[in-house]
Amino acid sequence: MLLSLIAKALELQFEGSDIEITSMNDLGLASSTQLSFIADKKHLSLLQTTQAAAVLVPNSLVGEVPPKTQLLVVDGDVQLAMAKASKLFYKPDFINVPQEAVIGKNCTIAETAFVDSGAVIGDNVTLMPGVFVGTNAKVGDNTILFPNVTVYRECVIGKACIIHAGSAIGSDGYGYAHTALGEHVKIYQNGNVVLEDNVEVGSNTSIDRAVFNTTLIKTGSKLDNVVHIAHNCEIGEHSLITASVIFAGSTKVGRNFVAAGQAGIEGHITIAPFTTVAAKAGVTKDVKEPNTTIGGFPHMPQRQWLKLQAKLARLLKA
Amino acid sequence: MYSLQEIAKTVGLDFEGEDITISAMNTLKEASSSELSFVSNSKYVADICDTKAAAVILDARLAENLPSGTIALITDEPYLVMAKMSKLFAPAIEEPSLGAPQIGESSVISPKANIENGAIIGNNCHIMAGAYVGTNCVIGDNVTLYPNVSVYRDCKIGKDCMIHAGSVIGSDGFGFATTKLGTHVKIYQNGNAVLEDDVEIGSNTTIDRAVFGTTLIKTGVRIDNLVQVGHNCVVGEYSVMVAQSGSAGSTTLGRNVVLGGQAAIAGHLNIAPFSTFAARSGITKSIVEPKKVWGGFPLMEQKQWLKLQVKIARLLKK
Repeated sequence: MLLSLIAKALELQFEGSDIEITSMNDLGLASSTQLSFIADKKHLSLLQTTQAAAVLVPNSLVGEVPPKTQLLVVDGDVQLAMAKASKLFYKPDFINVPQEAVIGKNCTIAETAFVDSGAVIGDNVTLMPGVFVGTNAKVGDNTILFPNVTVYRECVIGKACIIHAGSAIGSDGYGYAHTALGEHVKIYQNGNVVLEDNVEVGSNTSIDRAVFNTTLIKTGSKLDNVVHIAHNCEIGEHSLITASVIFAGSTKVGRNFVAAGQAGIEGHITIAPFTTVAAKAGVTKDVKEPNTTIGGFPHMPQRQWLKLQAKLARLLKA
Repeated sequence: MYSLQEIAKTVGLDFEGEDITISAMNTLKEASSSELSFVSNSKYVADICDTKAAAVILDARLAENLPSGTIALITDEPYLVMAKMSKLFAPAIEEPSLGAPQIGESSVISPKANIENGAIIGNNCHIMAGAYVGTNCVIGDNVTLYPNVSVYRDCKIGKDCMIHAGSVIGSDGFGFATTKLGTHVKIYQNGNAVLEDDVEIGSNTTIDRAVFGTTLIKTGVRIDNLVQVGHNCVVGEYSVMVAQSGSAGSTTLGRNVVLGGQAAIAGHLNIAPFSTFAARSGITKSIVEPKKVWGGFPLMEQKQWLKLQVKIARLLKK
């Protein structure tokens, strides 16, 4: 979409030279054909070094935009302008791309399963009744999708994966901009979800699609039932995530991460490889040292949490 | 519609007064002059003298408080009797004899979606594969139901709503009367669930139908994945419920209430508008003062909770 048209749709002044914008992205990841934005001053250094073709900026930061990047100056809330722009790049689910789905050899596809146009299904795949595979989604060889699994458009499921009944892969991330009146304006989630090979997902688990780019579950990871993985998370290789664990957005965990039941993980944090999180723990900050076991809310080393419980028990007797 | 005589006979009860026709069951407060009600919770004894109900199931000791003309059905197990009677008013699961569903202009309904007879679907809707819309449901314009969404019979969904894969609107509320032997008798959930306009619901979330009346999600509410809304709740305008948060039955949230991830509210409470609850809050009492920020379990102001965590950390050093 032409930058001048984006400006027009957002009712913004545009004076630069017109270019074709392919999509939107974060400041740090945007390429020279993408539109980005700065809604928070803490991202100033990313703005100064961004490769984005154009950015939505508030008046106060105009001087910080690199010379090769075009400006759309927002008089008001940049987050709101970004939410409105995201709608311009949204691909509806009923686009019905012209090419038919490609189905590999020896697949078992139930009559009530549905594979949308442009999807690619590998060899020896089993799609049980009620399964939905969206437009341009990919399902690798030897993967089994149990009844009523939904794989949204453009998501990628690797080889030899197992997804249990009712799970949703690629539903919209929970992202909104807020008006002064307290209404919530949708930020269209135009990224996808990728499950690498040998990933297993339990029943009724939800993995949200990224706002831009990808929510990624790496090779060999196993997720239990009713787990929630928010948009833009990255789960390291061979991780184990048990029932009712919840991840807020954009958190990255290293390989062989283990989370026991009902643990909750804060958004935008990084967790070192081989970290184990005890049941019901609430992880609120980065975990930098690998190979530790943590528990409690806010989290602490699990040994310390056990000591604390002993002290609290003693308090009761005092 | 049953005569009170027939209804009473099913549980072996008798009553004094003329036989009348009963249209439905309802709470003491909401019951009309053709409805049957009950008292089992001492909280609601005060409502007895003002009820408009045609007949009330109650303990002998409370009968004298009934307004004159209201028929008393006397039992020492009113809750159990109510449960048994609720079955009589349960509608059929499907009603094939009703007219074919009405579908608005430009709506796209997947051939693999199921729309029951008697349902009405507005204009420009997208109903994807595996979605189910029950008998007599009413769906507004511009609504998207992603794959495998279930909307149970008699529920209503307003304009511009979006419901992600696997979510369930109108499943039975969790209501049982327990016998003296410890077995649980189903209280048939004969109400419905209503979503007003511009409501977005994530994947694998559940909104239970009311036992009587309506579970109500008001305009502009945003609900994330794996959220639970119990029967007869009212969620105020523009409220936000993050993943795995939930509310037990009959709780009313004011507008712009924010529930963080895994936060939980007990039943039968009132929550003041603009209240914010941090992730994992456990809310056990009504919140009267609006605009405050809460956290912890038991609940306290979030500032206090943060202070408490510092003190607890100091305990460890002793």
